[in-house]
Amino acid sequence: MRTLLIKAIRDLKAQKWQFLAVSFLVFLGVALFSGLYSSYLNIEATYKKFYTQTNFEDLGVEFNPAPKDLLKMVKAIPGVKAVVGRLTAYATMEIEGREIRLKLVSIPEENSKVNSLFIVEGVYPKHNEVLILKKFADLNGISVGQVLHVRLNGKIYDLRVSGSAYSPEYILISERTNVLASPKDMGVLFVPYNMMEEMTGLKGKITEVHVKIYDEDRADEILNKVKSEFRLYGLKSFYKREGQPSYKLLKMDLEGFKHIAFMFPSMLLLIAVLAVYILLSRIVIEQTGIIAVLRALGYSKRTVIFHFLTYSILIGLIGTSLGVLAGYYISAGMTSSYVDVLNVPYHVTEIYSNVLLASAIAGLLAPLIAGIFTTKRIAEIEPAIAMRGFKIEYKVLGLDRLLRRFSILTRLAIRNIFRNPKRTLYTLFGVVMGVVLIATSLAFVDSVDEMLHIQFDKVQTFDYKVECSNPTDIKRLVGVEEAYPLVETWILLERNGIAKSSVLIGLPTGQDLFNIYDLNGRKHHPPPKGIILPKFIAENLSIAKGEEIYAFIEIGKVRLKVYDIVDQPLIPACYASLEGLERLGFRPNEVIVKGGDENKLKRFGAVVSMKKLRENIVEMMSMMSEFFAFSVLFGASLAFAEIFNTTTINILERRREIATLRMLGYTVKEIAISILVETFTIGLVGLLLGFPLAILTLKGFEMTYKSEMFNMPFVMYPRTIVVTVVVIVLTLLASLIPGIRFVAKMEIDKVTKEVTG
Amino acid sequence: MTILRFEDVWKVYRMGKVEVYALRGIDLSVEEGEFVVVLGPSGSGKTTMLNIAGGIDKPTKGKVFFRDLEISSFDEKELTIFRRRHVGFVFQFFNLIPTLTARENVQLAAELVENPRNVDEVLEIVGLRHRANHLPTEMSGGEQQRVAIARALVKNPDLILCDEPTGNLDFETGKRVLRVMRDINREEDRTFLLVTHNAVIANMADRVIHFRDGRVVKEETNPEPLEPEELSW
Repeated sequence: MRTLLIKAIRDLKAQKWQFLAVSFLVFLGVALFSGLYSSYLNIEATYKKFYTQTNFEDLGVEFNPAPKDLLKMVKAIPGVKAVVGRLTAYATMEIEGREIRLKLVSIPEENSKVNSLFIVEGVYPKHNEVLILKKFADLNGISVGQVLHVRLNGKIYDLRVSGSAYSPEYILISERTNVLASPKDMGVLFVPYNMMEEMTGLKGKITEVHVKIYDEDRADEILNKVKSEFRLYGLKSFYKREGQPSYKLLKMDLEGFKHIAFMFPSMLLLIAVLAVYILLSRIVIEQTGIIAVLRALGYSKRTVIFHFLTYSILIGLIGTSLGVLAGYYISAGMTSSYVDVLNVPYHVTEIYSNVLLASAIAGLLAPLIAGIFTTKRIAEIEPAIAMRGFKIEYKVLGLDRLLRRFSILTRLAIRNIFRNPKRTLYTLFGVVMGVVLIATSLAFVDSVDEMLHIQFDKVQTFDYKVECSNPTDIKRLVGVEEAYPLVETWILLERNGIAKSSVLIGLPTGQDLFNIYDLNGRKHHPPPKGIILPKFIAENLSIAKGEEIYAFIEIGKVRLKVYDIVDQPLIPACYASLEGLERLGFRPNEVIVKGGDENKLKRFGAVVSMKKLRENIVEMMSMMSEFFAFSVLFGASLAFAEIFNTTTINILERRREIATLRMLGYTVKEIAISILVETFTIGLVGLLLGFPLAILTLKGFEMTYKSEMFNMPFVMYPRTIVVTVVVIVLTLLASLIPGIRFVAKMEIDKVTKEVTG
Repeated sequence: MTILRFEDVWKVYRMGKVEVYALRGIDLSVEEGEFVVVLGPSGSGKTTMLNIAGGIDKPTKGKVFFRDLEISSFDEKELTIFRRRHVGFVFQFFNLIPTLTARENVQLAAELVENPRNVDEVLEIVGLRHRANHLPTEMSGGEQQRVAIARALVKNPDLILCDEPTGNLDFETGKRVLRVMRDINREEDRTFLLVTHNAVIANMADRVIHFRDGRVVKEETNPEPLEPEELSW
């Protein structure tokens, strides 16, 4: 059947742009699936390799200073494989005029068997030396041998950097009190234990314990035993591996990545199925006469069906082979850039034969399924049609009364929408998907802006946060408009065996510098009694407003009344009044300041500038702009490929009537306007349906990323709606150009000959 | 020897609740090597008869024989094989594959049978060897129809069925096409069954069968058939 193959290839050549458009969809689907899914597996493998190599903990407990000797008790717990005790403290350091927050973590004399450090440069530290977290060192230009001037409890320590390292605990810098910590502004220094004892004055004490166990199934039981060893000293937080802050955020992010790696390509391949179906249906309709002739000549149904399936196979082969190839490069690039922003020393890049196979199967199957759908129509074609000729019949809805007021060309355009409902629905689907992709991508940028707006313009409207307890002297400084003391501490809430740790903030009444807002933008005031709980924590602990709950705080175990439950955006915290916390024995540990000079404030304690913090977050988020640009481009090209496909098919199919219109004297411009009306009507409906769907998608993201640490508000600004509409309109226009050019260049005499011949 | 025989053949189409009788008890036969013209107005049932003769349609009632084979009892697969081996079609609208050249269109049919005729040879017979590499769109209507004849001929069929082969051609071109058919019929002793509403063409047939309202109303033999060049319409 060589000649049939020649026919298939010539058909492909004759309609190369349509075939390329649908092959492009298959290509995108396969490339993104193999690329993104391989990236997901690469990233997962990278974490796994690093966690294994560095003996990442199975469980951890944080508490008030307790004797180091208790480690022996922990080691003796059956099932415990290895244990390390830590002394931690928060310090500050100045780099190029910026106040940097540092977490000092004690390390044993030799690299620990739990949460081992991966030293990439230099050596393990001795007295007066530290290891520095690699990414932080790189971002701040700190090199080995440099001496850091670290301020702790008002005293400055000169610590020499002996080397840089990665730690499994800090792949992602995440602190309960500072979820938005940027790797540039939050550093981790690993300090020899005896040095830490000196610096903190906590001789023979530890504040954390990290444990590796033999059997993961016994994690709960062992965690309870470890907790009981330190309960007396006041627990601050405890977790199993899944609850470790960095691990938890990475896992959450990776899960989101996995969903995207599956959802986007699946959606694309579904669109590809529809695109191939539309294209092949049109070919089958147009070639009905040819099919009938082939059947009359003696070609069997099976041979004819297979002939038409070769189009699907060729589309699948082109899209899949190029897609798999591109997928490899996407995977390598994506894995590298994803891991690059994290604190991981290397990344795994592998070729996953099962992913390649799955993407190849999906890429080949998608057009084949579409082809199989058209075979029913082929099978129904009787060879006798060849004798009597063939006419395409369309369904036309009775819209006459409605359309009467429009011109004939407009009526024709609107009727065309209902001529082939399946095709119209497919085009609509393409526009809707394009809108969803573009709008959700841009809405991510909106959400980040909204997040910054909430955090810095509504919740924390102060300019500086100073680590000191008394605002009296600060108030006297020139330029300082307001200054209030507050308490910021940790809290561990426990109910029915479930524990949630959070931040407890004690706010003075009658100030507007630190406010409590809910997701609906309603302002709440510090409670006169008890505490305000974040909704996520209240739901997890099954506690209602007015009930009482046990909490572990710095002063020990207390019973607190839940004054209110508020669904807070961004970084949920527990709130109490400053006065209430003072009654419990707390003293203010921070002062929030409006106005004033940062340099002058420094003499009262470490200063955090909200402006600089905001700028750093914006800088960090700008790193993701490439991803958003890619998504917008992707959404636009998806809409383009589909609309181009259906428009050109529609024009090719109607070339006879278009030629007739031109013969009658209609200009190319008038016909182009008619095509524009048709496409833009579908585009308008697509936009109207696309935006609500995009908002629903955002709500889905909101639910996925909701945790006790973070509550990202996903919003869509009017600017996103405007930009999406503009991009879609431009895409529609661009996709119509080839079709309109075809109309302009149409050789009316030849097309007319087709009508009669 | 009889190559084709219809015995009380009926064809009824159901269109919604209405039954349309396309054939009402046709009896006819065609002998080997004959050039038979079926003449009748539009809707008289001649194309339906031709479709049934060629195995691309089945009768509602009655029997159709090709030599000794009762093709009216064939299933779809058997009919496909029958068409492949024994029948060549020439259509009113030529029905060439637009993306294939003249030679490839003929080759398309040649690939269906075990011992096809030489493609260039049949193109030579229809006088189009020099146009073998041209696409249908580059050819005139008459040339396209001659390619269609070559396509029918290349399978070496026993029976060539033509449905209004000149219906889409001008007078002179139509006569040239008929000349080719007549030559093949005479030189190769190949059977032609041609349906038309053009009464003039009947003058070149060995035998004429008249159709009206799904019935054979008259049959006549031409004692001295005219040559195509002698026809005028």
